[in-house]
Amino acid sequence: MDEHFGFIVAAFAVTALILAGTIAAVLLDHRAQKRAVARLSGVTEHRSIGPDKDAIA
Amino acid sequence: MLTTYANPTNFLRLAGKLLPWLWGLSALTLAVGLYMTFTAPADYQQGETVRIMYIHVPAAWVAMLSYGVMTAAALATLVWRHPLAEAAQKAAAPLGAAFTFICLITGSLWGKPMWGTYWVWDARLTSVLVLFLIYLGLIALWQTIEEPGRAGRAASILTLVGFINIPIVKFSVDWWNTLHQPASVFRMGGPTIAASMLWPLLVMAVGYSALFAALHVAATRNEVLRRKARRLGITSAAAAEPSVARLRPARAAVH
Repeated sequence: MDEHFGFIVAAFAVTALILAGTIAAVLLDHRAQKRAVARLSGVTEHRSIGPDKDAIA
Repeated sequence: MLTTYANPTNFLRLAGKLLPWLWGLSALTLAVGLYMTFTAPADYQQGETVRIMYIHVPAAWVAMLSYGVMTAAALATLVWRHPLAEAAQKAAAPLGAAFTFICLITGSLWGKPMWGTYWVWDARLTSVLVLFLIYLGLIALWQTIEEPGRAGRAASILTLVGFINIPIVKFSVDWWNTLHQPASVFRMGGPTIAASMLWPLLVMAVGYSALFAALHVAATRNEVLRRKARRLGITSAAAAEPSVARLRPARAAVH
């Protein structure tokens, strides 16, 4: 085994960790933004249609 | 054609179609590149440690590529004030920081067994550290200014000023005496590296670039959605409380 095996493994492990973390962050952010848009679209639509105040009165 | 796809709605549609291909291309090229990395011959001086080169050098290239993308987007932001250019610029900063961080860490782990030290304040290493700090500064700037249009213009100016560091990173090994080796791939007179090592390096570089492209398209899409959510939030708040509409002028809806 190469005497610098530890350095090689550490370099590959750190790279894999950073890349996996970046990919995960982007995908999770996508999910969060999609949810936020869906929720706010619902709210805006609901408010723009709104309850008919005259009907309530 | 560019203006057609620069429309955020069209961009979202295009990103949806493009992303599976970009993820697939990056997974395939990285898998082939990793296979070639571990089947390439060991270096006659560095031994197996040379394998760190296949993850370190492409990270350095993509760190600079990311800054190039950001600079182009900064110019488009300042010239055309296009929201999509702002989104592309903002999306590139954390990605550039990640690749620069990989470059710094793997370089350090390669330097210790080869040079006997994790770090030395030579021109190449220091200029890459400065690049990393510029990325962090840009991320902080985007977070500090809430209004995307103002943040975009401020970040564009800082990005353009910071671009001066890119030629310094590239030519530092030629301009100063550095512990870091000079360029052995992109140089006048062609590569000095053996073909058996050059090919795995190039395939890994394609893999890293494809991954950056996939991440950048995905992150820009997230930014477009974030702005849409912000706009909807303002509209919703204005509908609930009419005074908010007076406080928030129509420009909020532009971004």
